[in-house]
Amino acid sequence: MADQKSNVFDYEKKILEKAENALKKDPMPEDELLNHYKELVCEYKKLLNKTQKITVVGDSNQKKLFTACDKIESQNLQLNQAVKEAEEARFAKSEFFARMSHELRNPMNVILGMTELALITAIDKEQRDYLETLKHSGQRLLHIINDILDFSKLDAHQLTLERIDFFLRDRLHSLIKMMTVSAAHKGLALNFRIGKGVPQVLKGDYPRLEQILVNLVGNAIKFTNRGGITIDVSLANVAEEKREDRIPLLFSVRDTGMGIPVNYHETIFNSFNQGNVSITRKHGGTGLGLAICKQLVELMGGQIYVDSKPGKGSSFFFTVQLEPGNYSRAKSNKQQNYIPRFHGKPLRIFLAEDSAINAKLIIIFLKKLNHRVFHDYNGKDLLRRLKKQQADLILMDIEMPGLDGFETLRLIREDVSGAFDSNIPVIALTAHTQQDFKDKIFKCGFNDYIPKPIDLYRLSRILLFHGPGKPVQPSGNAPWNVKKRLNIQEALKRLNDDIELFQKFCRMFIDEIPEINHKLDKAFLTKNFDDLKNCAHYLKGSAATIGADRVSHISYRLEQVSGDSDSPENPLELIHAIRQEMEKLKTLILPILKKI
Amino acid sequence: MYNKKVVVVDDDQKVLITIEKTLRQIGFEVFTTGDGKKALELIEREIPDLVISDILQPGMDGILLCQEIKKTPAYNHIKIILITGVFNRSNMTRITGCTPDAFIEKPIDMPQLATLIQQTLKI
Repeated sequence: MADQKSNVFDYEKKILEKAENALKKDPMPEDELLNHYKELVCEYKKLLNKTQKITVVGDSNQKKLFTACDKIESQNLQLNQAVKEAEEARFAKSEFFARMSHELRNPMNVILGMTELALITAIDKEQRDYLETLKHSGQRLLHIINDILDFSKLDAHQLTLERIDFFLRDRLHSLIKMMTVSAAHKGLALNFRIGKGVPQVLKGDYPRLEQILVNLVGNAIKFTNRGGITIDVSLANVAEEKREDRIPLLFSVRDTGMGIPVNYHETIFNSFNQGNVSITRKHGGTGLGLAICKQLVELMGGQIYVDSKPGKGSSFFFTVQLEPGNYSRAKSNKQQNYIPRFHGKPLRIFLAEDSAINAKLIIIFLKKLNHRVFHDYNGKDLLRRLKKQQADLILMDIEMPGLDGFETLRLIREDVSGAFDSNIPVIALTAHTQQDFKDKIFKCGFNDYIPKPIDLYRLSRILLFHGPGKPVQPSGNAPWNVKKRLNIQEALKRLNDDIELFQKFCRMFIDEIPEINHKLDKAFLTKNFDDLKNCAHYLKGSAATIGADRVSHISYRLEQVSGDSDSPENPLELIHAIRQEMEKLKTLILPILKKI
Repeated sequence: MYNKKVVVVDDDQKVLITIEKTLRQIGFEVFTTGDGKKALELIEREIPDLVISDILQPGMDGILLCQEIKKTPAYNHIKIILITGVFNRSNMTRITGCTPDAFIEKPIDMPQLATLIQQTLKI
C-alpha cells in the first residue's frame, strides 16, 4: 500500500515541478501561463479524483482493520473465558473425584466389614478362600481409592497440613517395623539413620510425612530383589536465611534395586506415570504414588528428586520444612497401645447412627460379642431412649442430621433430671480424623472416638476399655516374657542339627500364621471354647517345634484358660499377645530363612 | 533293618515329618495321618508294631485311640507311645484308664525319640 501511494505522488510532484519551473520563467507570455494553468487545473482534477479514490480504499482498509481488531478482541475474550472454564472444569473434576472417592469409600468399607464378619461365621475352607480373596481385593481397591482421593485433594488445593508434635526416632522405628515384614519376605534389610543435629522432637504433619516414606520405601521394596533399603535423615542446607521456627530436613531413601533410566527421572513424578508402561503392567499400582509424594513434599515447603542408574539402585531425596516440637505434647500424642482387661460381661449399648448400613455392620458385630444394641437414627431419639432405658455405654455418630453428636453429648452431660447417669461413657464415631477435630472431641467430653471406617477390633478393644470394670495397662513384664522368643539352638538340637528341616518347619509355621489367627478370632468371637482350646493346643506344639517358646507358652496359658470362666486370665489379652508375638516372630524368622 | 511298621498320628505336619524322618533313619516303615479315625483304618490295614499318637487331633483323640487298641485282642502286641506335654501322666492314666507304653513330650526331640522307640520295642 505504501509503494502504491509513493507512485501516485511521484506524478503530482512532477506536475508541481513543471508549474514551479514555468513560474521561474520571467516574464512569461500570458497564453503560455494560461496553458500551464489549464494543465494544472486538469492535473489537479485528476489528483482530486485519485485522492478521492485513495480515501475510499483507505476507508475500507481502516474498516477492515477495525473489524479485525474487534474480532481479535472478541477472540481474546472467548479465550479468557475458555481458560477460565477449563480451570473451573479442572477444579470441578478434582472436586468430583474427591467427592466420588468419599462415596466409593463408604460402600467399600461396608463390603470389607461384612467380609470380615462373614469370615468369623461357620464357613468351610473353600468359602474362606473366596472371602479372603474378596477381602484382599477389597483392601487393594480401597488403597487405590485413597490414592485418588489424596491426589484429587492435592490437585484441588484442598489438602491442609496438620501440626502435630512427634518423636522422629520413635515414628521412624515403627515405620520400619511396619515395612520390615514385606522387606524380609524378599530377604531385604531395612534400616534408618538419623544424622547429627536433627532434633528429637518435631512438629509437622507426620502422617503425611509417613505417607511419603511408605510410598518411597514401598517402591524400593517392589523394585529391589537383593540388598537393602536405607532411610537417612539429616539437616538440610538451605540457601535462605536460617529461621528459628523452621527445621529443614533432608530425607533419602536408597535402594540397591533395578534403578531408573535417566530419561525417566523427571517424568516419574508426573501423575499417571510409572517409568514405563510395562512396569505398570508387571508391578501394578495407580502410578499416582510419586505424584502424590511430589505434591505433599511441595506442600511441606520442599523438593523431591531422584538419583539413579539402571542396575545401580535408586536414591530418592526430598526436603521438608518442619517446626521445633514440644516434648510433653509429643509424649501425650504417643499412642498408648493398651489391651484392656477382659471381663466378658455383655453390655447394653445405645447406638446413634443415621446411616442404616453402618449401623447394621456395628450391630451385627456387637451382637457377635454378646452385647445388646439399641439403635436410634438421631440424637433426639437417643435422648428419649436414655430417659427410659438403662445403658452401659453410648456409641454416637458425630455427623447426624438435626441434633448432631456434639449437641447431643452436651445435652447428656448437662442433664440434671437424674433419669440417667450423665457421666455415662460416650464414644464418638467420625469420619474426620484431623488432629484438631480429635482434640475437639475430647474437649467436648467424649470418652473416646473411633474413626470411620470402623475397625471392628478397635471397637471391641474400646468397648472393653470403657465398659464397666477397670482397665489395666499391659505390663511391660508379662509372665511369658521370661521365655525366649526364638530358641534356635534348642530347636536345632532336637532336630539332630538338620538345618534344612528346621528351615522347612519355619516356613510351614509362617504359612500357618494367618489361618491360626483367623481360627483364634473366630473361636473367641463365636464363644466356641472347644475350638479355642484345640487351636491353642495345636499352636502350643507347633510353635514349640521351631523353638518359639514364648508363643508356645502363651498358647499353653490360652489352652488352660479356654472355657474356664473363673480364670483370672483374659483370653482376649492372650489372643492379642499371641498375635503380637507372631508378628515379631515373623520378622525374626524370615531373615533366618535366607541366611542359613 | 528292623522291618517294623509304625503308624504316626498328629495333626501337625511338622511333627509327622520329624517322627517319620527319625523312624526311617532307624529303618522302620512309616504310615502317617492327621486324623484319629483314619489312624484306626491304617492300623487295621497294616497291623503295625507301634502307634505314636498325639493326644488332641480331629477325628478321634489319642486317648480314645489308645483305649480302642488296648481293648482289641488282635492288637495285643501293638505298643503305644502318646505324645504329650500338657497332662500330668499319672493323672491322665488314672482318669482315662488308658495305659500307653510310653510318653514323649512335644516338642519332639529326635535323638530322644529314637532311644525311646528302641526301649519300647526292646530292640
